[in-house]
Amino acid sequence: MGDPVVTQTDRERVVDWMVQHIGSVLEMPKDNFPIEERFDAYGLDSIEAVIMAGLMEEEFGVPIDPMALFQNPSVAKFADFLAPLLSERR
Amino acid sequence: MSLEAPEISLVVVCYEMARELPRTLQSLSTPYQRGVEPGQYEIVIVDNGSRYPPSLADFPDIAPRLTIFSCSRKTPSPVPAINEGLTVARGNLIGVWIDGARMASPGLLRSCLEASRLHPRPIVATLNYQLGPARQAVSADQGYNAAAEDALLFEIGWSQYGYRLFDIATPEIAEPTAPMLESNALFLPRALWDELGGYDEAFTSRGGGMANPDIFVRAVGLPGAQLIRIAGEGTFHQIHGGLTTAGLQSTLNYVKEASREYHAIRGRALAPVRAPGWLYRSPATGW
Repeated sequence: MGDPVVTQTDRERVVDWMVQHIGSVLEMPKDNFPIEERFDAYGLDSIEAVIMAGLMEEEFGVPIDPMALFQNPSVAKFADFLAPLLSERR
Repeated sequence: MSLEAPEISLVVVCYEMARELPRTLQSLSTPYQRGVEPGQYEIVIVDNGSRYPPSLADFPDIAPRLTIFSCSRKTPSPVPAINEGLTVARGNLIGVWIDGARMASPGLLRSCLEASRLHPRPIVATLNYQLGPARQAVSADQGYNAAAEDALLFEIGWSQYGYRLFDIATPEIAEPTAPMLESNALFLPRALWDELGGYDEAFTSRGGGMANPDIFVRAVGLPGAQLIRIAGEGTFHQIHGGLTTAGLQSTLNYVKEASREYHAIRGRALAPVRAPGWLYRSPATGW
């Protein structure tokens, strides 16, 4: 089997969801959201990241190990991590 | 002993805490607690189904009035036990310990009582600490255990030098005004507990899931309520294989599942309380 085909849609969907979620929780503007910055740079703490993992499982229908958020600690990095997993499921 | 209603009731829930509960109770009793008299408060212990439940005979030296009973509804969640304890509590100010493994610093009760007098609708939140060199979810994976903790407590002579608990503990939040998910000794007037309807029994998962953060968020959101955080005092979690202190991976998975339960019940994501509220500095420490 080859590598899963990651569509731009998968990655964009993850980025959009995370920006919406984090923006709502932290009351941050969603335009020009700093997706490359580390979560802790704008105040998303570890417990909130774990809470987010649970909600992303519901949203995307894949199991998410919260440790993956600590290993990929920005919206962009985590979207890069998760998008292939979503593609594999199709 | 006076049968008049005390000023403060402490509702403490326990389950299989034969090691931890005696220390917790000693830390809540006089003379360890300073600036309060035994007649000012009562302690209500609610056992949630231990194989060998505690009894009054186990604690002959506890100075304030002590009540111990078993929850009539034994569930994996401590929420029904808390609510039964709230029903029994007679004080005007009621502090809830969802986890009976938490010891208190010596000025905690006095500070909470004084802080509660600063506003007609006070939400008095004490800060959480965990005994040991790191959060217990992490330290447990590195060998921290009950024996190591017993040694630490012995070394500092905690029962005589209670403020040294801070020297051997790790705070759960970086500073007193940081975003706060919960308080494991939350003090509200009786009227506000009634207004909230107690803890929400929809939280049925083991350990209560996010029931404690939920009551904190709801309390702070009550109309006209004033959050008052207590600095310079705290509660200190003794390791006991609890759900959020039994190793990192199991803790993360527990929090993740509990957050899903919260979302299903409330229809929104759980978020810590970011409002700093008022800060009451303990006169004993001045921190």
